[in-house]
Amino acid sequence: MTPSTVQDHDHADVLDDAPPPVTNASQRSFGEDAPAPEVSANIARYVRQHEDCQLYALDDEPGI
Amino acid sequence: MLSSFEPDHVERNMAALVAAVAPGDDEASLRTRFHRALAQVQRWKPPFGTDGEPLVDFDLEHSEVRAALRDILGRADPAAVRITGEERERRARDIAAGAERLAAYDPGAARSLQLLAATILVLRGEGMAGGSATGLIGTIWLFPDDRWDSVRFAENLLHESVHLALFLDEMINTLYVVDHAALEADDALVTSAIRRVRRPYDRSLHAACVAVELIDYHEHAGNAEAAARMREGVAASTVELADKARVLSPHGREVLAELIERSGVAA
Repeated sequence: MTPSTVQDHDHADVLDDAPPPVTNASQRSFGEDAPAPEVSANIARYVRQHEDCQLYALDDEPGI
Repeated sequence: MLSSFEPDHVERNMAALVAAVAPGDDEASLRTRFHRALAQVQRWKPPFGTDGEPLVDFDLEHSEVRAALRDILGRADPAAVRITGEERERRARDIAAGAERLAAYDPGAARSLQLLAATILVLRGEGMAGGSATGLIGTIWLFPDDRWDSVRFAENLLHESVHLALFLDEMINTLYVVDHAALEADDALVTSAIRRVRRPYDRSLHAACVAVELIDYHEHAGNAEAAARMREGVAASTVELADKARVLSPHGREVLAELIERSGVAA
């Protein structure tokens, strides 16, 4: 799917450097609400795999 | 209710996305931060209301998902599916009645819908009742017609919100250990619990999860025939899903284990 009217950029880039580095103790406590490294990898993988946006259609028949 | 669809699980997944993509911004609600985070990682950025409820959107001209839908629906002219005039007010009332009915059936399901759906796009269409898409978490669309009553609206809102919950669960926790092409390969096809045709593994896992939720919903709504049809479809599909569980991640196997338990088939 190649949209022509929406801004397009590499959204996976947002996660390429995740998790964010913690450089000193005053910053956000890692482990409190920072992501587990595997979660960031999972998100990046999902985004890359679903850039083509697969449709899950609901058929026009009750219960289908 | 399947764990992936429980509001507590949904909220944990939402928080995980926020923490990974857009930490900070603590003044806003988790729902708002979640949909902002989604907008950072998804190609399309659906609008979402600021009052904590899904935005019912009829206006394709201003929707960020118009381009996606043009391809998804295969229509050269998206305006052909726009609902206009008095029908908009009627459909907005229908959606509200459906959401109310869903909340009366199961407040948890209604809560998950409210958390996950940023936009409910309501269009005029033939041959399709609605849909959602992997790269558009937060958006569902419906093609209602005058045959739909509040039971049907609630059913379809439930159906689509289960898909959204599973998309998010896959994004955060990973459901598969193989790529999408492998899920579409002939040796990974599984008979869908709903359509009853062989489909890619991920599609059939989704269908089984939706069908499991719909069994209880149809029973609650007094539609025993539909419930029985779903139960039969889930049982047959779950056996095939279990046979090909090699494609599943550890979390995917947990989802399958719930399906096995709910469907009553032997593992």
